[in-house]
Amino acid sequence: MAHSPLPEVELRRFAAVAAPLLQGVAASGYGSRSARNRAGRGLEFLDTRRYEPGDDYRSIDWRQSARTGNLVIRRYQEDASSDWLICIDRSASVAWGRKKWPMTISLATAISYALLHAGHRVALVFWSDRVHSKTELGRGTHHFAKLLRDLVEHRPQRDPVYKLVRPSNLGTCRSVVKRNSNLFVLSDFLEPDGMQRDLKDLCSRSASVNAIQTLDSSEVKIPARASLDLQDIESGEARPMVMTEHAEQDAAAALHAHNDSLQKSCRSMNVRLTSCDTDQHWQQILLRHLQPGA
Amino acid sequence: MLSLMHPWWLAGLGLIPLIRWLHRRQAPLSTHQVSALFLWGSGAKEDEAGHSQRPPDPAWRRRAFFATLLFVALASPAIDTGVDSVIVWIDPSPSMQVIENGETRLAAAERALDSELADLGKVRIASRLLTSPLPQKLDRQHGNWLVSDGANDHIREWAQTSGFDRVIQPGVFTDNSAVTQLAIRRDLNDPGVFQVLVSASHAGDSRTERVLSILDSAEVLDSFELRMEPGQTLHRQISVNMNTKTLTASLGPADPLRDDDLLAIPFQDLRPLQVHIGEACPGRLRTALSLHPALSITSTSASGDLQVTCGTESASAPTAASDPAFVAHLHFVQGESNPVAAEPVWFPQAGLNGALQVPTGHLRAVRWPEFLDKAIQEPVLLAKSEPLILILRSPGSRKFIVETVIDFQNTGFAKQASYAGLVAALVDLAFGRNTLDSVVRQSRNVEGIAIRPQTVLVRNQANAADQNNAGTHLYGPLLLISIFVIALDLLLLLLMRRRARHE
Repeated sequence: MAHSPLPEVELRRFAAVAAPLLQGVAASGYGSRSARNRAGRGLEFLDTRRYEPGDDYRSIDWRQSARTGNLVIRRYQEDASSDWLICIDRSASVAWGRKKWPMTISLATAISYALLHAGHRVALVFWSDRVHSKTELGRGTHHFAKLLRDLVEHRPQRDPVYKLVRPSNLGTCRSVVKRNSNLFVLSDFLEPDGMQRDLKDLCSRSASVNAIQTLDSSEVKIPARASLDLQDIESGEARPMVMTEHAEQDAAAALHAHNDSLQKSCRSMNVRLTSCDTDQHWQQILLRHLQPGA
Repeated sequence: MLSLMHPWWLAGLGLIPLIRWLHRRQAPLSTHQVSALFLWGSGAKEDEAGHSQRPPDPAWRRRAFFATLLFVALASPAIDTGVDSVIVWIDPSPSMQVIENGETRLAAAERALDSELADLGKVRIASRLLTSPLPQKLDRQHGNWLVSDGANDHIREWAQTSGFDRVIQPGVFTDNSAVTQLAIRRDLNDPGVFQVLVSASHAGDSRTERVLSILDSAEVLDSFELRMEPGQTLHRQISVNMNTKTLTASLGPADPLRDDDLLAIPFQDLRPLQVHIGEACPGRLRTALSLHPALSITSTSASGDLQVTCGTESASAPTAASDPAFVAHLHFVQGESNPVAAEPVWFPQAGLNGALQVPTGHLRAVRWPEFLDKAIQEPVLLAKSEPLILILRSPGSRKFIVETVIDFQNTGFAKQASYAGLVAALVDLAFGRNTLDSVVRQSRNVEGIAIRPQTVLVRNQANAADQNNAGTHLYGPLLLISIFVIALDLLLLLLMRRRARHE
């Protein structure tokens, strides 16, 4: 088994917390089936247990609570498992800096683990201007080992020649997304249109789309020199640039506007989008994303 | 009102577009990869040909501001305090009399001056003639204007350093020729003939041809065709007899400055001086005086130029009051013979030539109690001991009385060459000038004939010495601000470099 980028203890702990939350971000559909003897959101009664702080009040079994003198809640059996595609952007822009790609891999690992732990089937898709590879759907420990190997082996694509302008193309994942499957898209979404058109397209084909935008806070910083050429790491396009006091602020504002537009668009498409910085902890990012109403 | 001392420095502001252009053309220091180029949309643009146009480094504004401040400071802006009175200084140089377009330069300048003064409105005006010595400093309480063509080097240089507020400067012509010297002296071989020397000079840019005429009153004695190069002086010499009345040298044809084309000398200044010799004087003295080429012996005692008397006492010498007709008087005290053994010593103020050697054996000692008893003011010739040998007195404005105790009757002395020389020297003493070989001369300064107009800078152009008094100067604060701006620029550069190094 490939060496996991994250400690398994942490993954297990995260999976325990994330399991109920994952129900909120997935939609059951074709191919889903019940996960037996697992407490969750479902219609089939599983058992009762004593109330613990944080439990939903609506789950309290008032009749039994009156009878026993203690607050008792009713638990239901998790009613379904789903197919999840984790689409990982491995374009050159994700390789920018030293933190974006490791963060992407960490997030993908944790999501995969949590989904597999919750009984879902998971597949990985690596894409940039095209789909580079796709693992088949699967579940279980062995499948996680396979996913992990893929995650460790893949590196972001960088074209050293930059002969062609090849922007990231999320739309290329369309060919590998099955209808009514759930998607996790991990990308920086740093395309002029924010990949909104492709997201919309995927939304039309998928049961649910979750997007996590990985950004590096130093992306909008350039060396303090009077004059330099900026070069797009993906396309190789170079542009003379004169450093001003406001150049970085302007770029930060442009990024902010870009994210705002993307956020607005995702909201309209019912896509749950979380923007994160590479300085944040992966658990914090994912829990924020999975929180109901996030 | 704001004025600029050196406005030509403002031409340096033309460098500002160059500064901007230089900041635009600088090569990129490095290439930096970014994850999304579209975020940096405010960078360089592309022109129609597709070439990238680098926007100028914003630091160009700071540097252009620095350059602007520097050039404005160098232009020396000042706030004039304003004047309500003007002193017009007028250059009286001969060149101001040059006739151009039918009027003299002075007249043309006055016309221009009137026009400009009328524009000033109500101001008090005073005019001063620039006479030597020129003022050390101009009064800055008033405006100072100069009317000058700048041809006079002395006045021009003084005006440059004085710093005039306004210069009215006429003048077009540059060439002028002049008679610069007319000199007459007696011919040493023939007392009845005089040698005349005439000098003519040319100042200007081109060669000129003039005719030099030497006239006696209206009669032309001689004429010369002169071809003169710029800056050249030519000399011509002729001989004239003593019947000449008024000797004139003139240049023709007339040039722009006619006043200096003529020099004249009244010839009576060279006629023989009339001498009346008293009866008591020894014959040898009479002979010596009659042989003097500049003297003419007259028998009439009523008038003349020199009266020679001889006597035994000093008191017998006539005074100016008793004999007003004579210009000079020589009195020979012929007392008892008492040769002075001591060598004579000239008192410093004595007018006689110290080289004239008088044999001491022929000097007599005479006591003049009136001079010995009080401080002697007049020049005297003393023996090494007390006796006075000669005393020169000037009792009136035109009278010279020379008293001497030299023994002019001595036969041995009369045979010596120094006898006539001493008599001639005493005559010179009596007249106060060289009569034996006198030169009568009229001349004008060669440098003074230049009429070429030359620019006189006004105060805001000249390197005036006393600019501090001209008003409130702003170049100091402007220079300080410009230094602050460049220091700030350097500091920012330093900070950027340090930041780049850290990155």
